[in-house]
Amino acid sequence: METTFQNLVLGFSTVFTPTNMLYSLVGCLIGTMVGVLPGVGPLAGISMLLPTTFGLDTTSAIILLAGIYYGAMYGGSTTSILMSIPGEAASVMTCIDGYAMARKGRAGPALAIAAIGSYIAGTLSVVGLMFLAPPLARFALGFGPPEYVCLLVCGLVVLSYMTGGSIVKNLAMISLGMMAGMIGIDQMSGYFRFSYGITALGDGIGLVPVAVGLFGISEILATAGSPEIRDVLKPRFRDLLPSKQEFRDSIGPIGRGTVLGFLIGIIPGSAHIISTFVSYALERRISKHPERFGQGAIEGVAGPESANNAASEGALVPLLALGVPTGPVPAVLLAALMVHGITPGPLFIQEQPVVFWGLIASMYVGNLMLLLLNLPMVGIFVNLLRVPYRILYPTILLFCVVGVYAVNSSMVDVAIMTVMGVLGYLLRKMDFETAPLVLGVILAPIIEFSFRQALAMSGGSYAIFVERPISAGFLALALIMILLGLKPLIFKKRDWRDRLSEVEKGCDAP
Amino acid sequence: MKSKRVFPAVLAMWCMGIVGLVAGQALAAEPYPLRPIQVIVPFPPGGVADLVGRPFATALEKQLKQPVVIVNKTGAGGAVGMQAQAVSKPDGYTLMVALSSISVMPEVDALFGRPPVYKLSDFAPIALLSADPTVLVVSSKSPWKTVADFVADAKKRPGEIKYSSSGVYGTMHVAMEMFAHAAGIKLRHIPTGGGGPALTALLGGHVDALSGGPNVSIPHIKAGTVRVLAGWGDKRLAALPDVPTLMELGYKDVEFYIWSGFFAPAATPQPIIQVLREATAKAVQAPDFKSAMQKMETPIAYMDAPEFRKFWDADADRLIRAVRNIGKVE
Amino acid sequence: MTMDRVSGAFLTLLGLFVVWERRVLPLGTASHPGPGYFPLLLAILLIVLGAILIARGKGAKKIRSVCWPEAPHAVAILGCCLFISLFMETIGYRLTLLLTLGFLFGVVERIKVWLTLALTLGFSLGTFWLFDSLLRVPLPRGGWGF
Repeated sequence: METTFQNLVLGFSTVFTPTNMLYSLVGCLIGTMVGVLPGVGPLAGISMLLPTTFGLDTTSAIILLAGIYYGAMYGGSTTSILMSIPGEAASVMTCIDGYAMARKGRAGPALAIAAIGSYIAGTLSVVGLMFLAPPLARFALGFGPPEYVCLLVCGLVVLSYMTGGSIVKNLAMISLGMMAGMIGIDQMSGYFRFSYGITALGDGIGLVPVAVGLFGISEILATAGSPEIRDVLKPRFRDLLPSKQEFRDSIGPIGRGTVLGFLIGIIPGSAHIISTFVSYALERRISKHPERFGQGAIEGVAGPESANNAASEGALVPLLALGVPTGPVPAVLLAALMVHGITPGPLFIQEQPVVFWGLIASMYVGNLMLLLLNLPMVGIFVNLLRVPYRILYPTILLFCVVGVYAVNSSMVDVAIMTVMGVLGYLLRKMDFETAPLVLGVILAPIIEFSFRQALAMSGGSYAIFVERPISAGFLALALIMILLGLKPLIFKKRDWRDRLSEVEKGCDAP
Repeated sequence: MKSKRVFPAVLAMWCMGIVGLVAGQALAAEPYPLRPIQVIVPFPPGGVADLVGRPFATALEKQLKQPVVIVNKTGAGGAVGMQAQAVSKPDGYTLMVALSSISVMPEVDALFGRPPVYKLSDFAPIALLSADPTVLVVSSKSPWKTVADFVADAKKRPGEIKYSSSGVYGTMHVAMEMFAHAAGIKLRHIPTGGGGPALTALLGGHVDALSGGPNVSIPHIKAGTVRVLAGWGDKRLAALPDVPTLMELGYKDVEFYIWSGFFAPAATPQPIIQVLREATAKAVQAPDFKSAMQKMETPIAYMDAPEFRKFWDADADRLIRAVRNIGKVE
Repeated sequence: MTMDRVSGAFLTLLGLFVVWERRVLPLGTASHPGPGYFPLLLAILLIVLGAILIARGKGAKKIRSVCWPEAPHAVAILGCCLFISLFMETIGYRLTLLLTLGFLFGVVERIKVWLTLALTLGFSLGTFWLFDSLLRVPLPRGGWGF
């Protein structure tokens, strides 16, 4: 404990030099920009700046690059809330309630809560990173394919509470999404599946084009022709900040989102996306008014946004404690360290205390900078909505195109975005929800691959899922949730779904 | 009658387009290079190709006096980017840094009876930049101290020892199967989504062994969490002088390198290739590039086009045979 | 026909199509699932869910009751998306965007000419400068380097 604080003092003394403060600020600025611009995610941002850091001192370089990484998580929510375009994949869930809030003229509070939630989650996660990194990293390594399968089974059970509307329709959307997720090279055997000779479909249909198409483009298609309804969006100053009630409603989701996000973030894989939907589903599950979700519930913004920030820092745990990158962005950070002659391994923290503690301290400072940067920008961003929609939407379209193209420099992705836009538009007309579809696309490859990896490991025996403690734990949790879900059937209590359908009926009658 | 006022605007834009087209054509016969050059890296940021490509692009930029931009065109294990390069205009403005897996893909396509995405003859090699033999790494909890232990145990329980790889027909898979074939053993293959996840699987105890790049393995070897048994090179690694090579141990022709090379489309005119070869020869000598590669513990293994061509042919031959031995994975 | 029945029928047909398309992929066994195992499972699920939608879809909204007030705009925007997907790589980012934005601002939305020109030029050249030149995210240039 004492040594931790001595080390932290060392870290802060490293950060509070003018140059390192400057690099932290620059990193946060670029990160925010990169997060706001769709398509240019943290991955592209960091790899673009990587060569320019060759000449820098190692600590400064890593402070700069890490700033971009967590800064992008702050910025990612902006376009989701304002235009329903996920700035990066982890902001998909924010689109649902964030955009609904914006349509009700509450864009300011949504953006503010996203920033505040991100700040709290970011800072708390650094505390976690500081004290718990080595033991948690060992736990994370124990997370193999069988554990992943069981976590996702658990996630799917939670998912059934996810959205409103008919369960059959939601299940159909999940299946459709999973079906789309099957496209591409089968990672276990090398077969091309449903790609019809298009090599670019080899890695499957990318997440960004699907999400931008289903949320962003379909929104443009559905809204562009309708008469201007956006008078309500003109914000007054006091509408920029969340009300007391909204603050109170957000505290719980931020706390839960932080813990969930941090824990799930440690797990290898594209876990920060999973953390956002688990957080969203959890908030909806325990909310007293689940019917508000999807109609602009602030909990639906606070939870996932905190979760994705916490997860992005959780993902640094295995990297820093063991030198194992768990996702594409930590892999680039690892590369950045390697370019400076440091290959993080299990001895990283002992061998490079200045770099490690300097990074930790810079994250405290950086998170605060980001909050101070982002809150004033809420006012500027909200004013974007004053622009008439007929001028705004071609611009949004342009950003969708650039964003989707930039990820892989691929026109096929732009075409996928178009197709998904049409699909999303038609599905809305038919009263389907698009969020389960996106989640299906995300989850299908992970579930299938982990499932088959697990069976390959065990030589075909299903016992592997119950023999290992963590996976057995998740299965038990899933079972408990199913049983809880069955309770209303037995005790004949009014489910929130009934209330929701009543609300919807009320909406129909003008 | 607003629409009438719109028409001239649209017309004006069309005219601008045509002017741009004509002006562009007029410039086409100028000396090389006049414009920014794109270097395709068919793998995501942070991978070997990207790590070598970025400092190399920076060094090349200084030689060619034009911006050299890295484009990560990823997908299908690199096939997307390589295909893009194969069909790109051979004007020297679209080049590529690719890895040894370039030789494997057409063979895999043939195995599955698919039309090949590209042919090896679509590319003109300019230079070899780096070549690193993989090393056989096992968990330190495992009982094996030497390759002989490993092989003996694998013969006792065929198909029981698990190894992870970056993906089917990926470098880590082909290298391991090449060795398994030569040693006459059967191992259980667990593909993962990349080099990082494969290492994670070994460290987490989900698999027993892997064949990986030395630069990422060395810190774990030093920390004692994994043990290294042998290398795939023709001589011992400078960083691991005590580790024997598989050929030393009598496994004939088991030689595997994760190499990165610099390519142009095959139809690129000779003068342009010449400019690029000269610039590359100078760029690999640049102190910045040298120090970046040294820090990453990836030794520069520069070869000019003719030698590189010879090296590539021999290497491709070995890889193709290994893929045929693996056959179709069901 | 109700909405649910139409969409249910569509899902069922899609499921059947996948079952048919899957036939080239080896199925494997339950203990060693092959590349065709999950697609078949999902296709069956899709067919079942589609059938449920058809069976229970009697009381849903009629398909005719869906109105399409925004359809003309949607078609125009969609046309732009298609145009971009097909031509951006051949004629370059700037030219494509000049044409699409010009079309959307000038023809579809009938915004004043000077504003159309300013917005179109500003956005297409400005974003190219921002992304390609400043951020070094390469955007496509046409065959003649523009």
